[in-house]
Amino acid sequence: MKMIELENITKRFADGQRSLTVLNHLSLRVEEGEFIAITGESGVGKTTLLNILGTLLPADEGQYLMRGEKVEVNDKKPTERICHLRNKEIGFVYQDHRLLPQFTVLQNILLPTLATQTASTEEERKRALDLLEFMGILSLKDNPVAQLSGGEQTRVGICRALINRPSILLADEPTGQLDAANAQTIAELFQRVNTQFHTTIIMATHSAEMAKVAQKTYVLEDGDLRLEV
Amino acid sequence: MMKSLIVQSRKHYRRFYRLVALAVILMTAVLTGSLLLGDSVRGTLVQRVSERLGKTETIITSGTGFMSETLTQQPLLKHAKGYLLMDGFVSVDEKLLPVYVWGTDDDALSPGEVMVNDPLYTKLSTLNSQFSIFNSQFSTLVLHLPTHNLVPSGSLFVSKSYATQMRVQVVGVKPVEDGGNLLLKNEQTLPLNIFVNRKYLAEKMELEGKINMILSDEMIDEEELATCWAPEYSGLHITDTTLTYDGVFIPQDIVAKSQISTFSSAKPNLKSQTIYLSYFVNDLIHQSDTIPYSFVTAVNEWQGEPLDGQDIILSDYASERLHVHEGDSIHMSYFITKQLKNLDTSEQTMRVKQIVPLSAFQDDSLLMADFPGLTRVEKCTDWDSDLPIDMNRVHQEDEDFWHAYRQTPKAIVSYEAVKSDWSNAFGNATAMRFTPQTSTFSSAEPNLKSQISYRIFSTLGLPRKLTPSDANVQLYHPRAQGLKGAKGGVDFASLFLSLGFFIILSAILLMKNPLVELFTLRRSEIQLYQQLGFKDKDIRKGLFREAFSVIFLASPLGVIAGLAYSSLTLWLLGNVWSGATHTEGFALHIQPLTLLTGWIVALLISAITLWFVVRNILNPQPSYRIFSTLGLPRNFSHHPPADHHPDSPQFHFLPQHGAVHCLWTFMGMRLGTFSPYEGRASIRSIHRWHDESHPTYMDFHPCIHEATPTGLLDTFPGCLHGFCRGIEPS
Repeated sequence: MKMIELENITKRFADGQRSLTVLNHLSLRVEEGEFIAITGESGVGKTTLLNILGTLLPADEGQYLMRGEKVEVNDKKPTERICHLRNKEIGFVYQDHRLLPQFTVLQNILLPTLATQTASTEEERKRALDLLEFMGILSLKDNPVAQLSGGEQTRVGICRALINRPSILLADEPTGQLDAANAQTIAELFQRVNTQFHTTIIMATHSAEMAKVAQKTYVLEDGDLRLEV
Repeated sequence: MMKSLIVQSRKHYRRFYRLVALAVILMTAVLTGSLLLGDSVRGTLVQRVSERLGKTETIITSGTGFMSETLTQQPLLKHAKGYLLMDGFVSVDEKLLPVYVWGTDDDALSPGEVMVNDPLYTKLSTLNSQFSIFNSQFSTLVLHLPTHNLVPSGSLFVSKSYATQMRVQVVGVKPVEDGGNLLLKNEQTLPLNIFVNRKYLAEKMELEGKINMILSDEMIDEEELATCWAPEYSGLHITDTTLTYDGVFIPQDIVAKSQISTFSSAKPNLKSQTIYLSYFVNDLIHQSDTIPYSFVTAVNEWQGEPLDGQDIILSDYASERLHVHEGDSIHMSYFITKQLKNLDTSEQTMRVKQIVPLSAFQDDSLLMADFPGLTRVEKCTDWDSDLPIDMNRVHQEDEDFWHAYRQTPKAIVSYEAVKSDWSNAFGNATAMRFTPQTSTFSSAEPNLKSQISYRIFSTLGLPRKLTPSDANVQLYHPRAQGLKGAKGGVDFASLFLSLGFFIILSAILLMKNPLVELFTLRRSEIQLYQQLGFKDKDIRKGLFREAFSVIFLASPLGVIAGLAYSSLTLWLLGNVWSGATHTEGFALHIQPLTLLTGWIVALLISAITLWFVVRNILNPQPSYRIFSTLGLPRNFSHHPPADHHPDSPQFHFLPQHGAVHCLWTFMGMRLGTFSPYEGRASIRSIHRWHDESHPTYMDFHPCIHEATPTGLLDTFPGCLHGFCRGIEPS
């Protein structure tokens, strides 16, 4: 069974009288545990594709299946299933990290666990500490996130995305604001996550170097994906 | 953990929550303060009722007349006290202070000693810095009293001038709890009371044995009073054959009820009833002869014969002076009072029916009413009345008559002819006589007085005796009236809530704006929660809890501020604005329920406002709606994605787009559609993509840099100018 299947996905944006088609009958199949990279020029629609995969945006046409089940997203209030998917099945790593400045590193990581309960369990807390150790930043657990470097913030973002053991990890330009050395480190981390946790990873990047760590690379152009050999 | 996250968020965004707290404090203060004001004003007025009435539950007054002090010895009035109450003046340092003079049997005051109440003491001390009850040299006052006597001062023949002066010494201040602020009028201003030994006062006023006020600590009704009251207590003197009144003029109701119109059908023992009405006339004139300033009495019958029409029966003295005979006409002129107390002169032409010896008039004492000021003097020139008496017209022969005969009338006239002119508000007769059929009563006959009472009312169909109200004795219960007035006046709570409405509204806006700004600032955080799978309702709940905790913690401070606000306002009401309220010394009355109500209402309003803000924060961004309408990219945000390029099709702005954006951002901020933060951020976003090839942006440069709410107001013309420039063809 495919982990993710996108079939004939089309996404348009209205621009007054004009309509801009960003994704044009795009199809994608991702196996469970696969690590793929999606590359393309800036503004080509990589984030849009990731937002659709992350159930943050509805597609105008086509269908989205996850483990063979249809995923229906609308503009209005998210359904229970969508909330469940976002919380338990999908982890999202943002380019700008989106860490909350009023909380510590540990609190940021444990944030997804509070979506369905008022307090994190001991097991979740232990898992968060394990993830921090895995990322090599356990000592920063009680630090305010504003005190972290870009690379450290990215690692925290990854920990947060993994805290609920999601099946899918979506990363949108995770190394876009990092220098080459840090970017390489992060790339290796993603590889380790994929290897150790068998998490399906879809990473959007415009860096060819970054794309090398993935098992497959797709190029998004003219609204469609092309597998790069 | 959630609780600690809420606390941390609150601390992190304290800059906004300080404003929210301030708004909540302001709103709670105004709400609670207004309610407290209502309670306090009402409470002060109720307290004033208690202060001015003391324990008094029933007041019995005699109107303009007086009652006998012996009435208070009745068992029903054993808890009552009699007073002699009158208006007076106190002269201090060449100033006259109006005061209430209470002649009282309390306080063991010796003749010449007085006590004052606190407001009067304060006033005296203010007017005379040396005034002190501890120094007898500086505690002496001169008390001016009106010529109150048994005859009402408003009647025609009584002088209204303040004729009595008493030099008194202030020996103490009567406290409030002892009735110092006693006042029977329903007023809020504190009275200026002076308490004098009643017997001493009565003696000075020539009102010995008289009171005009009874205050009882018990509730007494009119029926109970009627059981212990008798006409004598009100100065009505009813003998077997006569009815007279201390106040000279007998009230019209008593005269009417005493008249038996068809006495022959009531098996009376009465042969006749005579009504007397004495008057002081200006002139009796016949041709060139005049007798000035004479007493004339009107009667309805004389020696068993009715006197009607224009008949006049002259004394021989008058006929000689006027050189008249029976059948002649004489003119009689006299003063009357018309409306508004204007003095006028009226005349009547009378026909001499009979000439009788003066002694015949002297034999009937009821013909001679006793007008103080006119009748108790030695000489005509000593007459003391408000009438404009020209003493130059009084000659020796008039003085000789006065010396010999005093107020013996020189003539009697028909009652019917003059009753409308000579009657007044206080009465229409000065005496009544009931002549029995036989000169003596049989032992089987009941007392004539009882007969009169019985027959008066049985003939008229009224099965009751003469009652206190017939003699103008009034009874009322002042506490109920006072409390009704105190509680039923202007509702100051509603008044100040209305006045404070715009403050409350401003506070709501003051609370709403920083909340909107805060949650807009945290929009990406809110989106993050959504993206992490938090349900919308949980997000709202968390934000609500976070903000409401600030509101909840700030509101008690608002209650305390409300106490301060109401205290200050009460001080202003009683001092600076006392001219409008006519009340001094408002006291703060705190009712726990009021505080609780104000607090809860403020919390409710705050919670509702917060709920609306939180509810709307998860709605689609209004900027999207506006921009899509204008044809701008739908997902325009002030946080553009990293892969965005200014020249990309999505975000390439034409000059007119930028101009319109500026204009709409400005309008949106003014209309409250976006927060100032969002507006400023969006304009800064344009500035980041500023393209020098688009000169229109240069026009907006000042607009962009001055993008504060007030700055935008100033730069609106610039924006408009830019907008106009923007639509010109490039």
